[in-house]
Amino acid sequence: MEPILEVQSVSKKYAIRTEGVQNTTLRDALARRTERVMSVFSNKERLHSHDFWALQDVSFSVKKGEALGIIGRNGSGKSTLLKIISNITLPTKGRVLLRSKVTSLLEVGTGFHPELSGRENIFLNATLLGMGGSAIKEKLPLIIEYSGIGEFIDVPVKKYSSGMFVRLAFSVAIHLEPEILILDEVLSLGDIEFQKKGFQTIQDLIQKKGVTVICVSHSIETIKKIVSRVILLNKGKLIADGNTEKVLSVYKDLTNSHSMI
Amino acid sequence: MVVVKEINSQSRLSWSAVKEVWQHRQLIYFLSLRDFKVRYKQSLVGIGWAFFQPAVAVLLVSLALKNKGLVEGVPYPLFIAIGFVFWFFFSNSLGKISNSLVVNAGIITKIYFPRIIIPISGVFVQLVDFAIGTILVFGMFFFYDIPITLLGVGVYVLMIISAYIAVMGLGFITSMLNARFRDVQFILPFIIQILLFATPVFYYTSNMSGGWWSWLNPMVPILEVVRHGFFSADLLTGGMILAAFLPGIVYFIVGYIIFAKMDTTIIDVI
Repeated sequence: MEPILEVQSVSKKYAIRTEGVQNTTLRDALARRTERVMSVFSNKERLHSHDFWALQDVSFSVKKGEALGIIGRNGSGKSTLLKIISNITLPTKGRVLLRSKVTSLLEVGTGFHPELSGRENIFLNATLLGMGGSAIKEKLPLIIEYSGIGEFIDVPVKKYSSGMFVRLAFSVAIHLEPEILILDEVLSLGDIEFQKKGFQTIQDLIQKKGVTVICVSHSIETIKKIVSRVILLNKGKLIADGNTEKVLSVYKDLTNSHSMI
Repeated sequence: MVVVKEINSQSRLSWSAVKEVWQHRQLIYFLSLRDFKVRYKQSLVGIGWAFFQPAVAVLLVSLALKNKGLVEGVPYPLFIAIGFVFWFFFSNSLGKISNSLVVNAGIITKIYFPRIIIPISGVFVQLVDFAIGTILVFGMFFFYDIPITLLGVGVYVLMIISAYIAVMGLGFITSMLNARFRDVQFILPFIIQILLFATPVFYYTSNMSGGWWSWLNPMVPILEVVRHGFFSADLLTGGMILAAFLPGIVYFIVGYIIFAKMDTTIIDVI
C-alpha cells in the first residue's frame, strides 16, 4: 500500500538578517528600504542577510495507521518540519505528498476569542480546524461532555481558568475525526486526571480507529507511550529512523556527547 | 490512494488554491460572525458609533460651510450624507483589512487555511455599519421630503457591492504590505485620511479637475453614479454603472495576484 504521507527531500531556508548593520542616516535607511521593497518583486537575494537552513534534504514516509514520533534538540528543525507538513509554511526545495486530509494541532485553542462563549468558540475553532457546520452541531454535546466544562459553556472564555480553557480546546481537537493527526507538544493538559484521559483518547485513536499520528515531544515518556517509530533530527538533518528504543538510544548518545563538550 | 495535496515551494499559486477558497466559505461566515459578535456584543456602543460617525461629519461640514443651499437641486446635508456613508465604509474597511493579517498572525501561523479568507472576512462587519449609516441617509430623505426612487435604491445597492470589491482588492495588497513591512501601519492611515480630499464626498464631481488619475480612486465613479441614481436619473446610463465597477475589479484581480505571490513567504517574516 502506498504511504499516506511522503516527505521527499524537503529543505527549508530562512534568511537571517545580520545584526550590527546600522542605518546611520535617513538616506541610508531609505536606500536600504528601497532595496528591500524591490527584493520582494524580483527574487534577488536580500543584502545584509545570510542563509540558515532549518531543514536539509529530509525524506521519510508514513503508512496509514502508523504512529510516528519526531525528536531532536531545540533548533533541530522539528517545528519547521511540522509546519511544512501542515502546509503553514512552504518548503524551499522538495515536496510533501498527502493522500489524506491532515489535522494539525500545533497549539491548543488556536483562534479562541476571550469575549466569546465556550460554545461559540467551539464553532469557530472547529471550523478553523476544517470541520463542517453540521458535523460540529452533531458533535457539540460530546465535545461539551468530554471537556467537563458543564454549565460554564455559555460563559465568555475570558472567565475560564487556564485548565478549563485547555480542556475545552483539547476536547474540540480530538472530536475532529482526523485521518492524520499532527501534535506539537500539546499533551501537557492541566491536571493529572485530564492528562490521563487525554493520553487514553490518543491511544484509542491510534489503536482502535487506525488514525495516523505524528507527534513532536521533548518528553521521552510521551514518546514511549504513544508512538512505535521515531525519527531523530539534528541541525536540520534526519540522522536516525526506526523503532522507538533504538532511536531513543541514538538520541541519548547525541545529547551525552554534546553535554561533554 | 490518490494524492489529495502536494506541498512544494510554488503550491500557493495554482488554480486549486482558488478552488480551496470556495471550499472554505464556511470559515468566512464564522470569522465574520466572530467580528460581528465581538463588536456588537457588549452594548449599543457599536451600533451607536456606526450612526454617530457619519451624522457628526454631516453636521460639522454643514455648519462649517456657508452658501450651501442646494447643490443642483439637492439639499447639501443630504448630498454629503450619501458621500460620507460610502466614504466611511471605504476608509474604515481599508483600515481594518490592512491590519487583518497582523492581528490574526496567531491563527495563520498555527493552522492552515487559504489566508486570503482573513482579509475577505474582515470587511463584513463594516457592511453592518454601512447598513446603519443607510438608516441615517434614508431618514434624511424623509426629513427633506424627497421621494426615494426604486432606481436610486437599486443603484445604491449595486455601488456598495462595487465599493466592497474595490476595498477587498486594495486590502489584499495593503494587508500583505503591512505584514511584510512594519512601517506601513504608520503610512497607511495618513494616505487613507488624505484620500478623502481627492474624493467627491463634500463637493460635486463636476468640480473635480478630471483626468485619468481620477479613475485610480474607485470611489469617484461610485459616488457619481449613486447621486445620479437618486437625483438625476436622466443623466445615468448603463455604461456609467458598468464603468463604476471597473477600477474595483482591476484592483481585485491585481490584488489577488500580489497576495498569492507574497503568500508563499509571508509566514516566515510575519
